[in-house]
Amino acid sequence: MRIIKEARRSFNSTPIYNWLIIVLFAISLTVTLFSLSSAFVSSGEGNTYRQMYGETNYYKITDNLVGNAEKRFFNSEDSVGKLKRFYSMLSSSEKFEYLEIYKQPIEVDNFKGGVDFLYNYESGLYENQPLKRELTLSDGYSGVFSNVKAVWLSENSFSSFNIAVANGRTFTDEEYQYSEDAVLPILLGAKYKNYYKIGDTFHVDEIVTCGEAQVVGFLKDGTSIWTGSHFDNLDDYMILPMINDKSIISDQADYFRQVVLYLMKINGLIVSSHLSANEVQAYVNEMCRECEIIPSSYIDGATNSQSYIFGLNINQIIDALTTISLFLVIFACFILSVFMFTKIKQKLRYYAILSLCNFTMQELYMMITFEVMLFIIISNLLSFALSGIVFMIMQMPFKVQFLAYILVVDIVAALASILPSIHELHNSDMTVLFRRR
Amino acid sequence: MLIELQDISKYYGSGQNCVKALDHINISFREYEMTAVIGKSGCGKSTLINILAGLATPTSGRYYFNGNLIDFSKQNQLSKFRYENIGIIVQNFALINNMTAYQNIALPVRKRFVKGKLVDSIEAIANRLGIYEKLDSFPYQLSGGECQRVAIARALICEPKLILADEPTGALDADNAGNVISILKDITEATVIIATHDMEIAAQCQRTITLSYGKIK
Repeated sequence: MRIIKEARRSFNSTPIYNWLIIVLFAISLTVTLFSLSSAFVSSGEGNTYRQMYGETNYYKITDNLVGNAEKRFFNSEDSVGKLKRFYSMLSSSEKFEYLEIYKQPIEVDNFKGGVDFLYNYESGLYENQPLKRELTLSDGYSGVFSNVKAVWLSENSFSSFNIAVANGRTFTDEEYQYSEDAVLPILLGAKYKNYYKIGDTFHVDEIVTCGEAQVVGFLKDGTSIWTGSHFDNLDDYMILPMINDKSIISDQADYFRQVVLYLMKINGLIVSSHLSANEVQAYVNEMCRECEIIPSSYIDGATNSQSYIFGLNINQIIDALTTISLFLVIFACFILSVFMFTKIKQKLRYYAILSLCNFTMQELYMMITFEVMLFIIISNLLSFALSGIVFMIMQMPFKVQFLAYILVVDIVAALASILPSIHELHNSDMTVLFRRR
Repeated sequence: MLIELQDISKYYGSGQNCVKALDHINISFREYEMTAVIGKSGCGKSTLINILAGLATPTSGRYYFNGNLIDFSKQNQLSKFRYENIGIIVQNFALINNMTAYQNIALPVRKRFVKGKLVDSIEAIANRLGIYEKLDSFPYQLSGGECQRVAIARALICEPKLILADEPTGALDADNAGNVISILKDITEATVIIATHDMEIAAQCQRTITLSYGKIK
């Protein structure tokens, strides 16, 4: 009891330094936990997102052109040309097959289907956006439009996912080529059979253009596609052809149309039977470099994709985090060790007086140990609180096995702090020290 | 006999650098006797006090306390021996500055006292030594004489059989030194051994032992 009392008294004798060291140690532990969790998530992503469909891996590719990166890119010279070249490299790669699949709702005039076909209803947005609304489109057409679930598919997506029609026909080669005045062909999912028939026409406003659309067929019941992270059943979808447009930009409207089109076309799905996510990412990084697309597109599940943070990829960030956490932990252990050693050295007379007052050397060693443990326990608690907040905000997982790493750090810190201090105390002549002023 | 030292030696260093602080000395101390150990600086007085207190291990020889051989190899037993039998007073008081006089006096106390009894005991000793009013003061708020009285109170709190005082008046003026010696003379319930180079103090003790170069003269 008196050991604890004296250790607490000793601990309380340097409150400012104590808290500085505790905060330093807690931060180092928090960064360690964060880097552990990041590494865990990273390795987990690699396993989770590298999905198999038959014998084939499907990797979702997503552009990184958001915020300032987007502004910088579209302010650069020949930005559309860069997108086109990147798309061309993706679609003609010998390393993998590229499927152009893009999900985006379209506005359909006088929609006949139920609410389960509507994007706003499915996503819960209908409270802010009505399921039906009056719109006047850029071509001057006015009507009552509904936001309907739709997906653009390239020709090879049909063969890749064995998509076939139950009635009507699929898209013809000509229908995959852009034509300003052509009627937009549309395939409907199986659930649409009760609402539309082949040959029905309606006005649509979609992301690339607006105009008249015509139903050319119905997909087989249960048709699904893989979109990178999960299967999408197309029974309540409208399917549009992912058009190709190699025309030269004629005006500002045409520029925006092509920008949108090629942004759609480069956010597809990469198919490979042998490449890992990181290998695909490496190829994509190379293509982006050649096309001057910065930051490059990223592959779901890859850990070498470029991030917004200093242009590093996830692996590099995790490596940097690990290095920082390791440095911080070593630094914190070193500081704690030096602090305790200095404190013990300065308090040798105090320990000598305690030994004069019948404290055994073991009790003095236990006092030092208890004081160090106080540092470590408080640091751990603070670190867990900090980590809890950080992990909650960043939605990162906390695994029990992380505690084993923290325990190792704690043991190293404790030994590094206790042993030199005890050694110093052990080698001190108490009979001389308590006679000092 | 309370204490019997047989052929006790204490050497520091080895070979040509060997310093013989105590060299094969044989002494006995009777119960309740007040003894002065005198001699010049470096004659071995403090070493003798340290060995008697169990704070230093003799190089050779035997130390009997109340007929029991002291085993210097067992630190915990030595600590227990000190706790049960020894009170120590040193020249510079050895008080802890950030503890009050009360806390300093209570420092050696283990489980022997229940809390109320401890308070009573400390207050009684403080009264006896004239420092009752100073119990809440810190050492830096006390005079040298008061500090030494706090140190004496700390030495007495566990009711030891032996009080060891190493130059207890060395840091005090003549008046305070006189007071401290009076207090030590008044301790009738324990054997008192005072290491000093002051012949006036030695003259007030019942017995005087002179040490010279580690040997008894």
